[in-house]
Amino acid sequence: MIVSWKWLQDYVPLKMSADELAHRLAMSGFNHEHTKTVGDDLAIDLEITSNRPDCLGHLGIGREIGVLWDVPFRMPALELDAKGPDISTVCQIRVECPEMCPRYVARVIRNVKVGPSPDWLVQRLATVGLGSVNNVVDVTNYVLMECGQPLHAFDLERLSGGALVVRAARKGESMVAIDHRKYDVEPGTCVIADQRRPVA
Amino acid sequence: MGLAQFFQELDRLAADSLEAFSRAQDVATLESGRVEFLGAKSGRLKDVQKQLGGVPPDERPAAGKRFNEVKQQIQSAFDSARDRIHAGVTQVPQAHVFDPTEPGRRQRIGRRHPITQTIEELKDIMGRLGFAVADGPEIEDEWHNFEALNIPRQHPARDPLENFYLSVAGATGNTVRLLRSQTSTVQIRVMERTPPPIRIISLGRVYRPDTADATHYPMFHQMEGLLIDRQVTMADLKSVLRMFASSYLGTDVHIRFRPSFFPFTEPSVEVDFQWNDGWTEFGGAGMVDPHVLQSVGYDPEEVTGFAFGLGIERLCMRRHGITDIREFYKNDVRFLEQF
Repeated sequence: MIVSWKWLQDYVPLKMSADELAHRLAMSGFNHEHTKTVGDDLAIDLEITSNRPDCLGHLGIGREIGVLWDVPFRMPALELDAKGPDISTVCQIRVECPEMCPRYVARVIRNVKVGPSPDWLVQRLATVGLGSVNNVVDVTNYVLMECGQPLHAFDLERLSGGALVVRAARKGESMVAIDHRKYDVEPGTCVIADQRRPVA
Repeated sequence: MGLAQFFQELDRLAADSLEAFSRAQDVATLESGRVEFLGAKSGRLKDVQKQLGGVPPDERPAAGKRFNEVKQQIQSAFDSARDRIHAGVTQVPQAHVFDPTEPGRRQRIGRRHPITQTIEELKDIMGRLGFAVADGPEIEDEWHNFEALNIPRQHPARDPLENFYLSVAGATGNTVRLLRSQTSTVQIRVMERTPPPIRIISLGRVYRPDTADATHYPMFHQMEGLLIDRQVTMADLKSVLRMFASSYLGTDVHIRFRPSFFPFTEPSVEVDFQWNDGWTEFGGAGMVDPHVLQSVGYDPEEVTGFAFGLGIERLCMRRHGITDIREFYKNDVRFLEQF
């Protein structure tokens, strides 16, 4: 997990040196691989053991720093401007395999204009080693690196039946993944599909 | 004795000796001829020399002159015979001549591999701390390599890309087999057949499909330690590891624990030894996870224990200042004979 020195400061004050930060985190179980300079920022590479998935994001590491130095951790406030018609009239979400995926959440955002991301976003993603694609893809990656939750953006108009179905793959199914390559899906693998075929 | 008679004696001696030396074909015959004719005590030449005194004094110079001629004749016959025989012999000197003055050719003596030497030393140190050596197979089943060690089926450590699964497993159909990826498998085998208390180490090869570089090799060695008893605590773990580090490194060294995670211990730590001016990681350790104790039929409410695993190559490399793990397995004698 690579964290950005500047990005962390959104959530927690960093009064210590970068070396001290890396050392103290290493001594609390986040093995420090190395620190690299990217532009005017520092990319701090930490090894997160599999019992600490809560720290696979800047929020998690920031929370950890807040505890270690006894400084306040600032969770960004959530302000949702939810308006428009009832979601169930726009898009259906069905989970058919709760044993593989107990919960699947989505939100519809209208009037999105796909274009380049602002510079601050491009720079933060560059620090943690991600290239910029466009504002929509970059936002999903940004949220992933922020809170550790993977997201996917779909174009609602192109989802067959306007629905998302979480289910086990059927025999002979294949899908084109985010890297534009076609993959055969092993039957039984958990897939996100629209009414007709797997889409993620 | 008259001069004529003396000359006769000399001629017979000369004829006999020349014939004997010219016939001699080996060292033994030559030597017996030398004793017979030229022997310093009772050789025939010596006998004739004694008769010289019986020759009348006025004839003695002539007799002496002739005696010397014959003596030289015999001597040169002996010399040439000796040269002839030795010339033949030198073509195969080892077969016939042992020269005790020649410097010996040493046998090239092999020696134990540095890893084997390290293993012996580690056994010795841990033996003094009361740990017995246990052994287990290098081809393992999934129960001992994963399941019993609290590594469930979905765990990424069981990925086919992280392990050497054997293809025969598919053929036989029932049991999946793999080359063990850790010596912790031996813990399970020992606990399954032995009631607590337990104090063992296990040293051996483990296999992981890493690309070979200066610090990685697809096969390497681990030392695994396990102690199970009533009221074993992390303080015991730290004491044992510190005593081990001090014994191996030869001075009173400190060790350091960093929190970490392994499926089969809780809590888990990385173990650093103080080395020169810094800290060097030597392995992982922790308190045996209650699930592991349960899976071998122990009662986690009754007994606790600790386990640790140290990389043997790393210990050996540090000791000898070796910087590339691949050197151990190139089998270059120029490298191996330095240990």
